[in-house]
Amino acid sequence: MQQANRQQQWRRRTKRRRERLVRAIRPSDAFRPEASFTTKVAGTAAWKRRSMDTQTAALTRGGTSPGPDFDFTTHVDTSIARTNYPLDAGVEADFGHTALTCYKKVALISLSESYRRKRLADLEQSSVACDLAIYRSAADAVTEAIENRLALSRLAVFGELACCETYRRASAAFQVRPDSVRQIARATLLFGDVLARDPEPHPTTQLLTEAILTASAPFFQRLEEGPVEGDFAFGSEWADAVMASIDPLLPPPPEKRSLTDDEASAGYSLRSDPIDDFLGVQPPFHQKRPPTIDDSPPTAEQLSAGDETSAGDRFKQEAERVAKNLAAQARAAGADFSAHGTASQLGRSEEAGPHQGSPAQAFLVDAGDSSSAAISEGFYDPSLDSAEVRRLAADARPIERIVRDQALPGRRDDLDYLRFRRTGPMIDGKRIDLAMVEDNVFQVSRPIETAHGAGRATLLLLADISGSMSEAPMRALKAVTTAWLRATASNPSLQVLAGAYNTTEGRNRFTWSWNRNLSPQSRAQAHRAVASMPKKGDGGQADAASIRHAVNSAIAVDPKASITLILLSDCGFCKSGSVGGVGPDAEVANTVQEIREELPDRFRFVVTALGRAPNEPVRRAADETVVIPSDELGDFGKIARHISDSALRQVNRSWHKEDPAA
Amino acid sequence: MTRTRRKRPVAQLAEQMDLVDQAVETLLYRAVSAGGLAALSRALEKQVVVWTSRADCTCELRDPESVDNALDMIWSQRWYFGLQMDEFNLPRYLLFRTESEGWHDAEVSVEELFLSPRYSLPDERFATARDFGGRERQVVRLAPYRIGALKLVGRRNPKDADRLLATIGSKILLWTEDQRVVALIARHLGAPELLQAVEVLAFMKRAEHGLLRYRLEEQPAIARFFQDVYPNQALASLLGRLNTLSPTTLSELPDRAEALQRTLADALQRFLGTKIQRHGGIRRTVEELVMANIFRLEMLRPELESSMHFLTARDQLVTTCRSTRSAKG
Repeated sequence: MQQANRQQQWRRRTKRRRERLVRAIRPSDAFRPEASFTTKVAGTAAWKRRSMDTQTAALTRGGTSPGPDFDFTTHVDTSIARTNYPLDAGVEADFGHTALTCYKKVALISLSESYRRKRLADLEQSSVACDLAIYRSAADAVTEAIENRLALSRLAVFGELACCETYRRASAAFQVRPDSVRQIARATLLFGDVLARDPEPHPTTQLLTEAILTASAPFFQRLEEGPVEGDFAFGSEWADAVMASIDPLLPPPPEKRSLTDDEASAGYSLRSDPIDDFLGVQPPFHQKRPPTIDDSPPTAEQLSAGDETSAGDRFKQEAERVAKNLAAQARAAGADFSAHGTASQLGRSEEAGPHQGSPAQAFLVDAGDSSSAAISEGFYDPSLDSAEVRRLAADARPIERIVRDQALPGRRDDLDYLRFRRTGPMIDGKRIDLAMVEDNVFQVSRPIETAHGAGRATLLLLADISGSMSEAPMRALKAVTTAWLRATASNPSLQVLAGAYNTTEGRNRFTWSWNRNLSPQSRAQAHRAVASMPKKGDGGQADAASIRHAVNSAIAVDPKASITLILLSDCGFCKSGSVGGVGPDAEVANTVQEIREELPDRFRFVVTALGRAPNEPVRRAADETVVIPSDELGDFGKIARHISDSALRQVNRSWHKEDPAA
Repeated sequence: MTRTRRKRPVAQLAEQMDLVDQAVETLLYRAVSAGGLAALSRALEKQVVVWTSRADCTCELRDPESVDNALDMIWSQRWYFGLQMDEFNLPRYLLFRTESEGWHDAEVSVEELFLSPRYSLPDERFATARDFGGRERQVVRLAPYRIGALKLVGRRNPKDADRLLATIGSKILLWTEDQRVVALIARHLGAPELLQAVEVLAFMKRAEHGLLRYRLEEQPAIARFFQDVYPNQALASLLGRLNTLSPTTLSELPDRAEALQRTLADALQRFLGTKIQRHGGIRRTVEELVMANIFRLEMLRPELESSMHFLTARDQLVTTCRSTRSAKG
């Protein structure tokens, strides 16, 4: 009995010691500098599991589910874990930030936008004591902060997303002394309940902080009591209360580039004031300064405020102005005007409609007949609709299998025969005798991929998404693009660009599904952007200018590229330029011919006609034409066979035929 | 920072850092002028010589890589420099030397030749050492206690002082970064007993007591260090009694520490859960306030100390810490 007790005691003690020596692996071990390699690997695995769980929970709370194709690496943030903030809490805070980003992606409250549209319109009619522009700017900051605060509070009540509250505290720890109205609003509304007070703030800063805190106190209390029903109503009420409290403290309309005496005496300053007499002695950096009125860049709406012309009109005017300048420069140099091959960046503008992402860029490109067309460029965001992504991947699978097996354009595949290997796993002692008499016994081969002599291979997938593309051709188009993107994802030596073009609202639009310089997602997830393309085409198109722009972009990515352009279109082309006497097909053919002359032996043009065959000029201009009849557009197996039978083999053959090394 | 020129490999570098720091302070606290900016620019651009065993390396403070390179060339000693940019993008510096007992022991910062008053140390127990390759690591910072260590071993024996500090930093004061929150609470919220108790428990749990018994006989200054230089009476008395403890008692020290740690953790949890009333009747726990202001706890302290709930909770925590320290044996 005594011995049993001793054994039990010994076991208990040993267990305690083991627990002391071997503690559980935590996600923070992935970032711990002193951790061993093994611990770091285990910590990284734990961190990944936790990150996926957090994102799944946030998406679920947002009303969707991640699905098998969801990329769990897109929204991950690890910035706080790499700072001086305590490590465990920092890693938790990063999870909170990741959860917030995921949640806002799928369930954006858009309080600021709604508030601006609905409430500020009414307020403009009523009496606002301060300048209206300043009031708008402050309202933007206030609603944005409230929006984030509500999202964090809503998520933090769930056990698995309590890290959102940790994130809020960590953000508060990194809050520096606010020096503008925007920053004061943000700091006070997001962290006002936990932030230590600055012992000696500037009097104006203190006034604003106190006003916002007093107005927000009941709302903080309400948030503490539990989840809030009706976010928008609650947020609007909160924003109203805060704006009413700070309205008397904000300055009345300022004069041009100077402050009135009242404002100056209230302690405001304009950040854009020029320092004319900088050579003189200025107050020291560390002196407490009054808050600046606004430090945010002007929005597109503010830029257009007071300007009667629309953004599209201004864009056209700007395009004309630049074209005139180019012509004047060319004439001065004694040459004929041509904007051929130029990609002049005209400016930036907010895009809407099929263009996602912002800001977009605008380019002036040659339309092939010595006239030019303006093209504005954007990119598709990766789709979060997992069902659509899955369906697209299923559609593309037969085509993908075909194109994956093909040798890629611009590359030559050879077999390197290895015989009688004396080292490595190829030696088989039992068969050495046989090898002396039989040549093929030990013959093994390995594929060798070598780049084409003319330059690095670039595959340019160009999709026409104009109004003539109905649902079936669009589905086929998306499947073919997806197939190419997925089949080439694991080949880093092949450059792939994929884009779509059309003309809506009088503007030529070019939207990238994948361009390594623009797209936010990883290359392996490029097909998710294709899922964001519209189900049906819309508007007209400028074919020649879009082809020119796509090739210009490919050259910008790699100047020495061997480009294979695969045009996916219903072959109902439209004109880009305004020069008479040239039809749309001839315009496309001329543009292709110009590109050929510019890139001798480095350009191939393949037309994949969805529904009907191209007319004679385009067919002549194309190296290969694949025609998919309209009744076969829904059968992806047949599409795969069409592509396999004609285009790819011939493209490869033509490359190999002209390769001097072959 | 002493302004006298000393025969050190990095003496010129420290002087130049001092010059830059003076120029920056002029801009920050006195006035901004073209002359002040030019002085700062000149100080940053000046070529500084670092004396190494092979050749004299030159570097400029405006190019941190050149400074890292020059410090890396000193083979006889290990010097590191820390560079931080403040909110106005103006530099602040730390120049320090490390020492370690053996090649496998942790490095300890034993001497600081220059420390800008504005240099931010989130946890004053650690300094960040950056290798020439750019890899950063935290080293235990005992340089502030160098003068006390020199008094113990004699001013003519600086190497003994280095050895003493290296031993204490790597074998006795088993500081880890996980103790950062506790250390900050102890330092800034008026509960130094908390850190002392944590140090005693860490020593009881993780130190190599058997080996240390011999070391204490060789270096009696170690025990005196905790009486005179870095006051932690509990640790000093434990070290003093280490030789008299039986092997059984020694082997039971970790288990004893485990039980005491649970008591201390409960007390700390109660302290952190104390609710403080803030502006507008909002109530927040001490933990929330501490984690949201971890880099400016000194700004939080006056507000916390105006709350009776906080003062009571702190007294209870301090009492538990004292009982933990005294119950160690």
